[in-house]
This record gives sequence, structure tokens and C-alpha cells, in this order.
Amino acid sequence: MTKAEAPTHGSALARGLTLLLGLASSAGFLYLASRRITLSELERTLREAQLWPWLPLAVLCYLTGHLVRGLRCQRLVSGEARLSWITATHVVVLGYAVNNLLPARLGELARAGMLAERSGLPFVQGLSLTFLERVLDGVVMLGLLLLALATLPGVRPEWLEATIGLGAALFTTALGVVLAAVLAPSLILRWTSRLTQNVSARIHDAAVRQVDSALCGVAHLGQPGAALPILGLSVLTWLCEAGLFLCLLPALGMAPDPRVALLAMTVTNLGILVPSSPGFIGPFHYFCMQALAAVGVAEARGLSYAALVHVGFYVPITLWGLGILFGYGVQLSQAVRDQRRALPGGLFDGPLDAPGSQPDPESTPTLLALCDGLIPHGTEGDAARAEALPSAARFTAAQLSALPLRLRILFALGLGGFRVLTWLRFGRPLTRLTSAQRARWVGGFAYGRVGLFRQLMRAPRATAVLAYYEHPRLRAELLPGAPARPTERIISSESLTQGRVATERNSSESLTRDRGGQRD
Amino acid sequence: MTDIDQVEVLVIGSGAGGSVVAHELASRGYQVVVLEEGGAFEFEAYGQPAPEAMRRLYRRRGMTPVMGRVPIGYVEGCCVGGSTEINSGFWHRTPPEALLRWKSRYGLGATEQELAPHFDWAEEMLGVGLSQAPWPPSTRTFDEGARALGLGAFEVPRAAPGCQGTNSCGYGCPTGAKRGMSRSLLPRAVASGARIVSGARVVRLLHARGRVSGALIRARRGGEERLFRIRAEHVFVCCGPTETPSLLLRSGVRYHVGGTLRVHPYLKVAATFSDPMRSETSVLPLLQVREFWPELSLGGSFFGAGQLAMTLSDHFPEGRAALSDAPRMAQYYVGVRGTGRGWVRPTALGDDATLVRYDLSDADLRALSVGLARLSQLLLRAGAEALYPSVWGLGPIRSEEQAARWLTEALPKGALSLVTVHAFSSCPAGDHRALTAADDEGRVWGFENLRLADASVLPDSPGVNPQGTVMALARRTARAFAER
Repeated sequence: MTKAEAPTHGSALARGLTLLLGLASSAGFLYLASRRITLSELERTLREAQLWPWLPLAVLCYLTGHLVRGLRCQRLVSGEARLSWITATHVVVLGYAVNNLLPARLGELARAGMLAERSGLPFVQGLSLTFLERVLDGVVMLGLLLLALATLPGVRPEWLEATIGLGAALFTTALGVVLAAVLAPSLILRWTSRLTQNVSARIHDAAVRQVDSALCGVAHLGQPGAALPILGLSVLTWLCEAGLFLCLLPALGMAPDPRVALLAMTVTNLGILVPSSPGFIGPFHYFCMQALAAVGVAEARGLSYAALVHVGFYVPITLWGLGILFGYGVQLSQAVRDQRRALPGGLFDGPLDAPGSQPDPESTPTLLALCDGLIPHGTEGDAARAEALPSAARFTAAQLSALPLRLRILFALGLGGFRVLTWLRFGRPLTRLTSAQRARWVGGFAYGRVGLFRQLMRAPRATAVLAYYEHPRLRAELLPGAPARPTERIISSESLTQGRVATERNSSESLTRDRGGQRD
Repeated sequence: MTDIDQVEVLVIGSGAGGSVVAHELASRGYQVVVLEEGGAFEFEAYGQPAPEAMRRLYRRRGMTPVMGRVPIGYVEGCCVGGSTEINSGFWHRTPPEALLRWKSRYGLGATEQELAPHFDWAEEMLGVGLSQAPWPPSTRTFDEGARALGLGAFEVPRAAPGCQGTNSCGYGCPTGAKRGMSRSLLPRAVASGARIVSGARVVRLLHARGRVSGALIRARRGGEERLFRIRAEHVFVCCGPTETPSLLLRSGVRYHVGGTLRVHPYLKVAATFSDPMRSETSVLPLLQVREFWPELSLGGSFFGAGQLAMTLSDHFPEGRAALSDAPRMAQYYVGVRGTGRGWVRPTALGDDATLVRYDLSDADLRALSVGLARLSQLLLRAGAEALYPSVWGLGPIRSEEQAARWLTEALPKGALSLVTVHAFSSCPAGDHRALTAADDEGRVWGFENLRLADASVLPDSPGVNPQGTVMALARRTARAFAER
């Protein structure tokens, strides 16, 4: 270990204190959970537990939840990197396993490290992704907790009110941070640059780089249509985890009530935000037991249930995580060091990619139907229309995606309203109307008397019409005899070559050559 | 990010302003780097159908609307050469009246005599001149209409010597006849040692205590988006009328920046004649009526199948039938000076997009209405059978009586579909500090090494295509810098 890598005295002390604090917290919560229960009571309840088939079922639910988490992780990084579903799941599981084995939620760092190693994304981006997942988890959990309480009348102990208040404050703030990062990344980056530009070039560059990486981590959420599926996967994840809690209720002789399972799951998971030992021993048991106590379950049975759930929660994932660590041989520090080495080079070190090299967004059936309604039928045949219309819809999708975000949001809201109106009017979506119905309905908006509706349709109308009638087939019909594309050049390519080649070469030649000009 | 990238003169933007600065300074031996956000394209990429051309050559694919009570479609180039790659190549010297107004009101010292050699030079570089080929039908017809009304119509010189009439100026000239910057000044600048880096967007300028030290740049390399920092001794911002103020504001430079945007609003009119107009094998109408200048000008516009359809779409669905007359159609415009006010701002949401707003003034509306009447009269006298202005609900104009209505009435604001390709004045220059963002030499107030050289510095609307003015003022600015 080099001097730079050796832990400093201060950091070792901090880690030691964190560990001690966690252990003390765990001990305190274990005491609170068991102070009114005798060991024999606990032993008897556990011995009477019916593990088959409930424990395997519970574990299956929990592991399924991790597969869904993997899917969510895969989607979250899909804008920047390709991860297989199984690799994304392994990344998630590793984080949970390390949290089970090491204190201070070091699993989050391990997870970001493995994500960096597997995807090539910066470590900080991995951390911001983890933060985003935690925020989504928190928001979904709060929602599920409120759902559970709404369906369990009379269950509203004071401590739970406080927990909800605290959780809401925490996750609303975090959600605000995420939304700011998703909606105004450039603004945040510019302010980072502005605030650090006068400190030193090194600090400026480091700050800008890290903030940029962190912003990239949450950027995918800003893609149209990305947020809802990710939120849906988050809900599914926690429903699977609620399955763990649900399956173990009958194991201890309790009715398998989904509302109770939701309550126990959400309260327990919010409770383990409290610092504790690895594996959340103590807070996990205490809060799980308290949730059951709120619906009238005896303390001994509640604690036994908590212990059983903890086994289902802890053992399989920890074993899976150890398997991953063994199989991959992940070296976290190496991954982080690799990322540090992979700093962006100089602007002149190599050619840059041509702008617009990213693929265009695909059209949607709704947009295709909209274009069909926007472009009146003329003398062109059905075959020509069938050929030109999808091309016009693709162009329209690409053009709309190029609008500034503010206008994109306004258009999306307007289009959403239009779709609702379509449903209300016809009882089915635009895509399932006949072509004649579409032409009348869409035409009423795009070419009708209401200025606001015409403005809403102006962008798709103009782009669809342009692309449709510029389609080679339509153009040939409208302007028969028009040459496809005259290309006779009237200036020689040579007269441009000198400039063009030098333009694309981007080498450092021209910067280093002698000045031969007539500078004054 | 490293500190190894250091340049003497950093020119941001490669359009009419940036190219002149790069050429002028590189030829004087300065170490010049030009950063261009858009791509560099070969001939093969030019003259493609509209969807492809807009994807490659236009800023945000042409989706940068000017918002306001009457939204205005606005496009500008985003490629090596900037908007000069997609404009018509029409060339005007700055009207003397505009120069006098700019001098008295803003303190811009450029006089007609002082700019004359810069115009001479630019015209020589770009081969500016009148068409050598016979006028196409759309131009001849316009001339006949103007004569019939007793109006003076003048052929506008173009920077397109040997134009072959492919009617695809807006999509990049595929023959190289039109001398956009990528075909004229930039190759010369590179030959003199300048380097052009395309695909590099400047996020913000880095500055402290009145000096710009460099720029933070975003670009993609190897499929990965990355940030770079470049250090520069002198910076010329030449990103155009919307992006220059946007970049300055993103960088915290605010003094009179972005709050005084002007545009030339245009109303298009598609006209059906009895004879073929041969749109696909002819250049756009070359004449302009300046009888009513500076408030109003009448002239010709691009008229490919898609462009005609866009104008006619204000008359859809009934107007769809008119498209079957496309071979006999041509397109013209009413352009007004633009006395309304607007602003440019970087958006806080999303990527580094720019929001643009312009509020059409009552005088603009009045001039557009009168202009529509005048143009309609002219085209009807020239034999037009039906006119389709880009005004919703107006219906085809078939008689001078119908047209004359707009001499006294105002067009309905909410029904207008306006467009513009000329924007300016978002960072006016001149020595009257109370009204300008930069001094007479284009140096941004409060900064010793930051200069502007593009359409943003024009103090107000010149009333004519601004490319010539931009190039002349940019050369003046570059020379003042070099001879300081």
C-alpha cells in the first residue's frame, strides 16, 4: 500500500466511530424490542412457526423484487451504457449484500463501484444513480404506507405520524434535488463552473466533472416516457418485497392480510434508515414489531415475525452477494482508480463526433395517427400515402423532440389533453379511429376556429406537412418531371479540399506551425 | 479535462461573422481556433430533402420558434458556415440611413465610406453579383406585376456566381455555386493556419476580473459526451443573434445582453399562375420591391413542394386541392422592418436551449397588412389566378378588390403564420454605453479581451438581409483588434 492509499488516522477514527455508533444503535433497538419479552416466549413462537411453504415463497418474492430492481437499474443507465439484466441485478444485489456485511451503508459505494466497473460510467454517476433509486424507493414507500394506513382504519399511532412526517420531509427534499438535476442540468453545471472558476483551475475542473457525472446519472429520467416505467418498476419492486412480509404472516399463524404486510414492510424499511450495525439488526426488528403491534399483534409474536422476516431478508441476498464478489472478483478500489485515470483528454487530442450522430427518436402510433389526421387526403394514391405517412411521422417525432424542454412540456401537456378529449368523445384512442374520423377530429383542432388549438397543432402540422410533401414519391407526383437532385458542381472539389481536410483532421499541426502571416 | 489546450484567439461560431474574423486574424498570423457547434459537411450532404437537411444543417433541426403573441417560425444554421449555408445568398450593403441612425442613437462609428472597402472585399470573396442566366418564370412574372403597378423592382445581387437554379438554397447548395462560408472564407482561413473544431458547443465562458480566460466546452468523442476546457487570450463570440446573448447570459455577462432582439417578420404568399413556374429547376424569385422601404419590402421566397404545402396548410383541408397546381405555383413574401421588441434567454430547464421572444408591434402588423395588399395587387396584375397568404381563414385572394381590403384593415393577429430568418440587435454595439452591450469595436463592456462579431451587434433592424452588414462590421472589428 502506498502512502497515498494508506488510511489516514482521521478517517480510521471516523470509521471506528461510525461502527461503534451503529453497534450501539443496534443494541439499543434490540433492547427496546425485547425488553418485555422472555427468551422462552420467543423460542416457543419460533418453534411453532410453519416455515414450509411460507419461507421459500417469501424468499422467492424477495428475490423477484431484486430482479425487478435489476431491470430498473438497467433502464436507468440505458441512456449511457448497455448492461444486461442479470449484470444490473448483480450490481443491485452486491449493494444489498455489502450493506448486510459492512457498516455505514458501504454497500452503496460498492454498488457504484461495480456499476462503474461493469458499465464504464464514472463512479460519481453510479453514486447519483443509487441516490436516485433511493429517492424513488422512499417516495414509493411513503405512498404505500399511506395506502396501508388508509385501508387500515383506526391504525394511526403517534410514532407513526412522526415517522411519516419525517419521511415526507426527507424524501420531498431529495425529490426536489432530483427534479432540479433532471430538469435543469445545464443550469446546475453552469453555476458549478461559475462558483469554482475563481478558486483554481484544478478545483474548477474536478467540480465540473463530478457534477456533470452526477447529473448524467439522473438524466435518463428526463427522457420522454422514461419516468413512468421507472416509477412503475419501483412500485413493483416494493410490492414484491411486501410479498416477503405477506408470505411470512401465515407462517406465524396470522392472517395473510396484504394491508398489514404493506404496513410492516414500509415501516420496517423506513426504520432501517436509522444508522445501525451491518444488516440493520435492531432497528429492523424493532420497527417491524412496532408495525405489527399497531394492528394488535402480541409483542412476542411480532418479534418472532420480525426475526423470521430478517432471515428471509438477510441470508439469501448476502449469499448471492458473496457469490457475486467471488465470481467477478470485483476490486472496488481498482474500479475507482480506473475512473480517475479516464479523465477526458484535450479538445485537440482527437477528432470529435459529428453532431446529430445519435439515432432519431422513433415515432409512436399516436403520432402516426395524428399525422394521418393532419394531412388531408388528396389525389395521391393509398400506396403513396402509406409510404410517405410513416416517414412524415418519424420526422415529426424527431422535430418535436428538438424543441426546447419548456415548449416540449407544453406540447406534451396539450397533446395529453387532446388525447383525453379524444377518449371522452369517441371512447377509444386516436389510433383506433377510422381515417375519416381522424381527419375530421384532428382537422377540427389543426384547421378549426379556436386559435389555441391551432397553435397546439402548429408544430406537428408544419413538420408533418413538410416531410410528407417532400417525400420523393409525393414530390414526384406534385411536380412531375422535376429532377431528383441536380449535382453538377460548379466549383472544383480541390478548391475546398485544403480547408475541408484540415477542418476534419483536428490535429495540432496548425497550432504549432510557424506563423508565416503578415501580422501587424 | 486538462490545461494543455491554449489558444491565442478563440472564435466561437463559424458563420458570417466568425468566418470573417478567423480569416482576417489567421491571415495576419494569429493563432486562431474556431469552435463550431454544428458539423462539417461535404457536398454530398447538401441539397438533400428537407428532413435530412434540417437534421444536419439547422439549429435544433429548425425548431427554434420565436414565441410571442404571434409566434414566428425561426430557423438558423448550425453547421460549419452557419446560416450562410442555408440562406438565399441575397446580398445588401447596409442602407446609409441605418448607419446614420446607428451612429446618432447608439454611437456606432461605422460610416458608409468606412465600410465600403470591407463590402468591396467581401463581395469579391463571395463573387457577389447579378444573375448571369435568364430570369426564371417566377422572377419574370414578378417583374411584369411590378411594371404594371409602376413600382420599381430591382434584382438583388447574390453571393452565388454561376447559380444553376436547383431551388435548394435552404438545404445547402449542392453545386457549390452559393458561396457560403464553408465554400469561401473558411478554407482560406484554414490555409492561413486557423483550425476549425466542429461539434464543439461552448457551455460558458470562464472569466474573472474583466478578463475571459477560456471556455468550458461540451462535445462528443467516441460516442461519449465530455467536457473540455480551453484557455484563450482573446475571445470573439460570433454565435449569431440568439446564441451569442444566450452564451453571454449563461456565462454571467448581462449588461444590455439579450433584451433588445429585433427580427424581420415575413408573411408568405403562394401564388398560382397559368404558366408553369418550374420551381425545381429555377432559383427563387430574384427581384425585390423597395418602393416602400424601410418599413416594407416585397420579394421572392423558396418554393419547393414541401414549402408550398406548408404555406397552403393555413388553407387546409380545402386548400389541399390547390396543391395539384404546384407546378404552376411560386412563392413570394412580404417582409417588414420589425419595430417590435424581443428578448433572448438561456432556458433554465433542460439542455442549453435558448428561448426567444418577439412581440409584433402594431406598426409591424399594419405594415404586413398593407404589404399583403400591395403584393397581392402586384401578383394579380402579373396574372396570378389565386393567392394563398399564410393567414388562417383568409381564403384565396382572387381579385384586387379582395386585396385592397388590407390597405385599410389590419390582418387578424391570431391567424398569422409568420416566419423569419433575420434576427439581430440582441447585443447592440456602439459607444453610447447606456444603450449597448459592446463598444464601437465590438468589445463587450467591462471586458478587455471579449469581442462580439455577428448579427447580434447590429443596433437595430437594418431592413435588409444582414449578411453583408455582419461581414463588413466583423472585418472592421477584427481589424481594429489587430491594429490596436
